[in-house]
Amino acid sequence: MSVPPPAMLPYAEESEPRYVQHVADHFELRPYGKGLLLACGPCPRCAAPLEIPVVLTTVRLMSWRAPVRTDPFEVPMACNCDEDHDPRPDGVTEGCGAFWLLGVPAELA
Amino acid sequence: MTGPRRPLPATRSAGASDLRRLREHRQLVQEAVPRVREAALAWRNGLAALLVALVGFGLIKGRSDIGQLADRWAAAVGLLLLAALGCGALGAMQLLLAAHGRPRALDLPSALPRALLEQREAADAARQLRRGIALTLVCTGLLVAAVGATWYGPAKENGLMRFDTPGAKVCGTVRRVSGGEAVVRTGDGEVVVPLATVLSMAPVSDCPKE
Repeated sequence: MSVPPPAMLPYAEESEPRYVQHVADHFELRPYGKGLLLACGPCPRCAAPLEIPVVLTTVRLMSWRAPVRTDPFEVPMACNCDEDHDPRPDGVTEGCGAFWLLGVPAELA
Repeated sequence: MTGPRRPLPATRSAGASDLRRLREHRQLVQEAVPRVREAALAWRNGLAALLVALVGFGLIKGRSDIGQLADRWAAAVGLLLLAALGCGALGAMQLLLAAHGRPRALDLPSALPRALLEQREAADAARQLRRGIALTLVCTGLLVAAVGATWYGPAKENGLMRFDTPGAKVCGTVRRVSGGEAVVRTGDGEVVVPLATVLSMAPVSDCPKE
């Protein structure tokens, strides 16, 4: 599937059904140790090349026990591109507003 | 570590609740390092206060001289104190590392994105914090065990005996008993005490000075 060239779209927080297949076809998951991934691929909305850190387990006070996952699971993520997508809301400094769910194989958790 | 993988197709498209969840996750990840560092500082101060209260202010205090203990107990107390010192030093080091981190060279061309680096830092700090707490508590337990041993351990047996005879009182360590005589080592040398002349004898903790 060809990816449309980047276009200066206005910022819009949206998610479309077609993003699901786009992400599955064009993204790559690079594992960097337990519970840490880098999701790389073009944004399904603005087509900017993205490198999105995926943190599956974080530290909350004393607990640092990653749950044992045996099934695939889905994590939400959003475009974090540096392109110019004005007008961005206050406090938002990156992305075009597109967000989607990413299916992570259990062995990468 | 496995190689790059394709993600799986999600079972549905994302909704507003997923966006909220994403923002909450981001906030949790951003707060992870400060949160664990703050917790490490609090634990460091709390555990240091506990140890200072226990040792510095003498809330628990054993014999001042473990030389008064039986040899094996004295050796055990020494080992307990040595182990407590080791655990305390390691625990303090781990707590300091958890609270302040350790400067390390970072190879920028191969460096991970900041969020992943910070997450690793938070995980390391949490691990060090857990180890530091465990080691410090073990140190406290060893100190209490050492003090308990000085409380309840048997005193050193000095083998001193006092013999009362019609002519004199002899006090010292019995070297041998044979042929109806006891040979006693006193401060003035060995003295032979005929047992038939002994009016009374008793173990004593100290011999009176002549």
